[in-house]
Amino acid sequence: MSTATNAASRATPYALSLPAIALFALMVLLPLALTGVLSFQEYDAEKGVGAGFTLKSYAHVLGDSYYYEIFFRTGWIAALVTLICVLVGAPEAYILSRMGKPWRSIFLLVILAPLLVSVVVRAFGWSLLLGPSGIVNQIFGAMGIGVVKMLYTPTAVVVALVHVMLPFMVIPVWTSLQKLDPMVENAALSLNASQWTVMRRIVLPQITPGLLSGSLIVFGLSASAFAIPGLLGGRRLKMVATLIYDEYLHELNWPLGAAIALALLVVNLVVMLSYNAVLEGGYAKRMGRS
Amino acid sequence: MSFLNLDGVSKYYGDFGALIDMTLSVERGEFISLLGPSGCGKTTTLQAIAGLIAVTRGRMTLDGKDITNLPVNQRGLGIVFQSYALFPHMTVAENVSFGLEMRKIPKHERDSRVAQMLELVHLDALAGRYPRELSGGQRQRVAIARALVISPPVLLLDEPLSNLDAKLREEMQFELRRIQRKVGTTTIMVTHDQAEALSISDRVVVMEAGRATQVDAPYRLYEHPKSEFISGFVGKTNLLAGTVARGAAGAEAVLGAGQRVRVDAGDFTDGAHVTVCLRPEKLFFTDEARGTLAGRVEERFFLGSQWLYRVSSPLGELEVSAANDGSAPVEEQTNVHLAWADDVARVVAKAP
Repeated sequence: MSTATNAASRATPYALSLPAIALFALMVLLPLALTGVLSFQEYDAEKGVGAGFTLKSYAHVLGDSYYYEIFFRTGWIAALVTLICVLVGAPEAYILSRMGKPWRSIFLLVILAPLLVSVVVRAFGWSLLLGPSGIVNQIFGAMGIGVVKMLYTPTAVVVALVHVMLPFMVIPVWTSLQKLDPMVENAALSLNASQWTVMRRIVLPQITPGLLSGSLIVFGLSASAFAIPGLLGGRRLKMVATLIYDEYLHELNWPLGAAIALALLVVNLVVMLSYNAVLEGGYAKRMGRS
Repeated sequence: MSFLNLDGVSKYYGDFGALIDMTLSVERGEFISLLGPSGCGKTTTLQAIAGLIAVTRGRMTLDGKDITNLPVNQRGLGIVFQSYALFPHMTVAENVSFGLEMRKIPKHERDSRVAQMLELVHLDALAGRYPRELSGGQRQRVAIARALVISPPVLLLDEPLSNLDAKLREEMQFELRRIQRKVGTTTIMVTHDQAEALSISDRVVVMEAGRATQVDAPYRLYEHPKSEFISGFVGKTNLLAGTVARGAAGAEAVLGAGQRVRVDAGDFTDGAHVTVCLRPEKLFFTDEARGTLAGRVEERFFLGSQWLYRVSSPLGELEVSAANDGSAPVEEQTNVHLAWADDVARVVAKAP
């Protein structure tokens, strides 16, 4: 083979991935860079966004406990949603993988169905259910419990987020369950293991990668969720994404909004990477993935 | 009473009988093979003994105790699965140790028993490896070690060698037999490979459509098959139509072109239409004076240790095999004469 064709064949993969790279650069990197630039710009309530470089927006975020509170709330809500999704999604995926022929596809569709409906519609659905005169409170009333305030509380946000995020947990776990040899469980049983030990010592370690990627997706999406906290959290229960929206469109303080957005990105990255490092590290040692 | 007894064990899926009235007695220390084509019920039998499926009917006892309804994790049998089913997230030593952990054996004893078992299967150097880092033969030996380390009363092997290549399979056959002899564990192996079944078992159970059709020692099974199917499934055979003729000198089978063959006619009545089985290696070429049957070599195949000839004769096409003893083989398209010793032909009922 001549050197010319050799070089050409080496360039082919890059040439082929060029459209994707261009799209990625245009749609993700460029806006991100612009947001970054914006976050360092001056802002004046009278004159709007000005030129020049300043750290004022960041100082503002770091110096006000109001923002810490919102970041902290976002963090624990996302973590709780992730935890509930693991506790509900993993058994769900396991049961799904054990179902017979027609039922498996039917229930998989049921689990995926929420993805086919707009988040806004689902959020409104939940607000109808959880409102003061919603079905849930009507049932509570009939049971003599009385009206419980659920709408515009973290409970409503968590419940709705779990509903939206569950497929993102079930699918990766289900995928790793597919790779499991069902005979491996029988092998453990034949060695006198109890059903519970089989779950804990045999099945769970093997679906760890699925749980890991599911958790990362759910946490990331929950921490940056906008529609659900916006519609079910109300005006007072803010999460970071709704806060950014307010800064951009109500306060018109774009540099502050940009600074908060980047802060959220950094916090999210740190949480996900450290989680990954801790769990994946232990897993990689055992499964030899590099 | 024998060590392991199956008494009329059946498994039905709806109307379909996967296993019908299986009755089998296994002595302590015996190596039994369940042999048959796919779908004959051999794996179902193994799963019933293992407790992986619930039987529809029948009773099983092990060492005098009824185990028919005992769940799999209380039977304590060693099982080697066809896919080996090793725990992928555990090292070789952890895999082997798992069964001992479940039995709450203290750590120091566990370690010494694992080391001992790995030495037995020649894997002591690989104790720290993960299953995916092992070859097929090594994985297979891990599976055997894992099943044997718990000192099970019965070892069950589900087509243990079918995932190995031909050379390795042959090695593992003898390896398996060596290990089994050494530990003396009662063993039941499922296989569809008749050579495997014949070479390592004490007794072979031939299964057909959910039923056991013959249970015999390998040599006896090969030499005295009970049906056309068995004689064809276990080794090669020539099946010839014949009629039983009982006389003062003993029974004979009269073949198509009037040849008479001395046979043990068993329970067949005079004049009964039967099938005569003649193994290819029992036929040999000879001269016209001593030949029983004239024929013509149509095709010749070289199999290494032997030659296989396809010979056309008045009785139809026959397979004849001859050892490759270094002498010149018979050429294709030559006329030959065939003969066989007395009492090597077997008579079985005509298949419907």
